[in-house]
Amino acid sequence: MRPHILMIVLGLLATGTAGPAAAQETSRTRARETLPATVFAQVEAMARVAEQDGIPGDILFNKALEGAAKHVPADRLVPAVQAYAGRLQEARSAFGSGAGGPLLVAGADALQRGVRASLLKGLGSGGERSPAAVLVLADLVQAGVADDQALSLVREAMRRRTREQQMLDMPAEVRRLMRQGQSMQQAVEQVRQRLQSGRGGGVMAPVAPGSEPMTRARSGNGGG
Amino acid sequence: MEFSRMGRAATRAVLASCVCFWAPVLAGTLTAQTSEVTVEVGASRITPPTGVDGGAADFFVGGVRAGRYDLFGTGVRASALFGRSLDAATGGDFVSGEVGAALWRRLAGGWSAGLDGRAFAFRVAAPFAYQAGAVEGTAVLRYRGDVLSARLAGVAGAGRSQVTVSTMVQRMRRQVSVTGTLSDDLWRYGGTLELMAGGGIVSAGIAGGLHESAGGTYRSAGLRLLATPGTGAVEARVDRWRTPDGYETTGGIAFYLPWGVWRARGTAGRPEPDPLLLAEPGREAGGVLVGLRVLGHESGPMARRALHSVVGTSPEGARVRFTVRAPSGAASVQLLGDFTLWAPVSMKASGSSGGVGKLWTVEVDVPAGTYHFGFLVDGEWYLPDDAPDAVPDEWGRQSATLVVEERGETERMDREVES
Repeated sequence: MRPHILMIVLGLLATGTAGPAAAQETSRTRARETLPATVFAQVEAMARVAEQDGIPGDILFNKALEGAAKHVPADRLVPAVQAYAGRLQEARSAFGSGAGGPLLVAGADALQRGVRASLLKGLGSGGERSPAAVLVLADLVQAGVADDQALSLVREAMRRRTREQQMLDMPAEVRRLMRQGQSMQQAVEQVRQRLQSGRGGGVMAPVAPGSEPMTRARSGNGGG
Repeated sequence: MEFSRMGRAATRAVLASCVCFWAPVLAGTLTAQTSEVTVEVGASRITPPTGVDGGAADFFVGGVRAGRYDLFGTGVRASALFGRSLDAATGGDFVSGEVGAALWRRLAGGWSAGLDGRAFAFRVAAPFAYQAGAVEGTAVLRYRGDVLSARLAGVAGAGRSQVTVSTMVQRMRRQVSVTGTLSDDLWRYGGTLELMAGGGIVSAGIAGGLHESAGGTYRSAGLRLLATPGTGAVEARVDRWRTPDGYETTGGIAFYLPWGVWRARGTAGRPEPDPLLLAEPGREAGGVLVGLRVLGHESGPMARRALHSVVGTSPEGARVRFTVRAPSGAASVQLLGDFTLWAPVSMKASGSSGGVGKLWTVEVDVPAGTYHFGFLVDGEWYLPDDAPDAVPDEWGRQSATLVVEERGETERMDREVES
């Protein structure tokens, strides 16, 4: 490493910031360097099969790296990656062949959280579906919202092209209203009405101190 | 048999003093994800049942209650309650304990089903030594609509009680003390139906129940008025009971009100008979317990802690600030996730906050995508219990989720909103 590059790296560490690691290294190369050779070979074989089905192989390497970072024994890495690949396949079947990696990851997570594949399919095949929409759908279902109502609410948000941050705040708002004594249907309906009136679903949702959602900060147009 | 009736009559009042907190009022605690240990202190008073002589029994009451529930009430609980009698002539020190678990599942169209199991025990020393223990299971079918709600519950339980009674009897020309110990098998099965109507915070309705027990048949019918402000609940009820010993009218008010780390719960009125333990209602009873949450947290949406926030844009996606409050005493905290290829990135501490652990932050440029991430605290995987959008991984742990949208997509939506 040349001296000036070393200084830049040290400078980044000293200020507590980091650039995107992906820019310098891919998950495949990092997996090769990090994982035991036998594990890497098996994950690479699974990644090749996944890529033939239109699923980015990097997602599987990431899952193996995640296990290694969590100190999972090597013999439990491959079965976990295999199970994850199965869910990615299921998500791809639900979303169709046009789904990209981020959407597939969100879909696989939703399946892991108990969302039925048919519900993912219900998000449609248009370009308006997003990982955030899938995340919100899973969060609503996990919050106890009935499948059809959760799907209907997310579709409404998608149809209105609701901003990501507002959409992500919707489950918190539904939970808050339910805690205040409203039934699930009432809570969903109230959030839906806020969407329809253009006030978004997350006016009450907290954000980290000192932070502003990107869209709000840039446009000067509050989410509420 | 007479000993048993005497023992029951004298001790039922004491028994009722610690079990008369109506279970539905505690439903207020089940509307939020909760994991907590609460220490409670308070006082209670109860008068003996109709037909039994004696003044009111007063108690100092204290105990500990622990529970962990999800948003819909699935979880486990345990509690222990101790009572110190203020007058040995009217009541004795008692201790009671309970462990229980509940499992709830959503069904279609506003319906949900639940199973609840509990085991509990009670012991009082005076005026008669009395102890009882039982297990009970309840299956519940619940409907919650916009206006109407219904709750149908079937319950079955079994247990055993033992009473030791000493009395003076005339033998020849002398009074002698005779002590007898009698055991009773306790059981019951039956059901209750509750129909409520109302929107928002207040609802009202009717309720009825039928139970067969070791003591005979118990029937009840009554009215309910329930208010659920926030996560608390206040309920007023009145019931007409037909018991093996005759008719009884019971009712009163009960409440559960949380305030930050503080909880208050109590009841006042005429307590209900217990078909399982065969407790007869005292003429009047009441008590208040004030609790302090000493461990745990409530992780409902009001307590959600965002772990990340987008603070700007980067050429490939967004600049994201990650913030986590690590457990106190943490020496190092690192961020890692898909976007770092699971290589740890050091975080910086930004001051302490009342001994509950420092806030650690770092900013990272993250390309558009969907990512899993978490933290290493002193080298060990860590994710706060209340992390939003947590996803279970394949190894029994949780990871947080981060979605960074394509920059072009965000700008397109901004233009649409502005136009």
